[in-house]
Amino acid sequence: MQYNTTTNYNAPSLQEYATTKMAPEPFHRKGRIIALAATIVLTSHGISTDNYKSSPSTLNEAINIYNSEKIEERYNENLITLELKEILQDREIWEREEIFISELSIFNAINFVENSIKRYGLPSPNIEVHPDGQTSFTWRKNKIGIVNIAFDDNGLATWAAYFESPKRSIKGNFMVKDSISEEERNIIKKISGIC
Amino acid sequence: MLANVNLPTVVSEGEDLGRIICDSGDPKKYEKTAFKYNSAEGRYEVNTSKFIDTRYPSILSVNRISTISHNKAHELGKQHRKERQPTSTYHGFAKIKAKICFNNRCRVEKDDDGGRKPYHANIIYPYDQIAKEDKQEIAIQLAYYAEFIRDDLQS
Repeated sequence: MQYNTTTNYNAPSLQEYATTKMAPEPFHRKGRIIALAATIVLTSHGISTDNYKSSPSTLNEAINIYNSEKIEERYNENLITLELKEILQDREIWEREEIFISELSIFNAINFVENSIKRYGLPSPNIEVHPDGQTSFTWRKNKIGIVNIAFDDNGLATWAAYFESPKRSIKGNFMVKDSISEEERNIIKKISGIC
Repeated sequence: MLANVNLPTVVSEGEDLGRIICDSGDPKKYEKTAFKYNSAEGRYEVNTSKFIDTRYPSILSVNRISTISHNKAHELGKQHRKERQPTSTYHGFAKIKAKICFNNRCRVEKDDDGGRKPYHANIIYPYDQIAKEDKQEIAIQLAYYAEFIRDDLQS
């Protein structure tokens, strides 16, 4: 999908612009990725994104990167970390809607990105927040299966995986600081359809 | 009308269950707590979060929806939102066969509040599911097989 900036422009924030003006639901995730890409572009130029109001040229640059350089793949780990940091930043806003997220769990999820996802080139997960406040990562593919890893406050990662054919489920846990085992990495790769 | 509804006491494995999804109206939030659109596969997916509960054993509130239309099921969801989560947005419900619950050793028990909520039931996780990964093992399967029925007129 190609994006352009022909929609109305009235200087909303970068996030607002990319998510609501350019990429309406159900493509808002791509809108957010573009916004994050724009953040990366700005940061790489030493420009602070605090209170930054978007400009068409910056967004066009981000869109070009997204379209031409496979931004999701290139910035895979960075985007996940940025999304987690965004949650960290918005915790108080989430709490107003009675969604309570553990700060330590987010830090442990970020550590997992560093220790395992980046290190072993694992595919990008979806971030989920469990009702107990734990941050978790999910990989799933229709007709193959699903795996979910949750991070507690003490650095323990608990996980469970399900394969559709033949039907089987497995589960376990590990300390985030120790990084993920080969068996667990292979489960994620199989479910993501990359091996 | 509801007074005439009296579903069987025992929930059969062929029955459809609907787990109401009321959540934030903000995509940034509900994508992490409730459901998301998988653009690669062109369909909505329900998050595992919707099948994890902090109680012991975990109890998931559902409606038995085999005998009613999706529109009627949405009406039940909107009524629930009005009564229990008035500040949230009603998005729809996760539809799942009771059989998936039974395959995971969960019980599904009628809980109709003395006939006031004739469609209501609870999915109750097994008592030996204590560790977080035990709950995840069930939740991922319920989420994997759940079909998200979205309300077109969200409120």
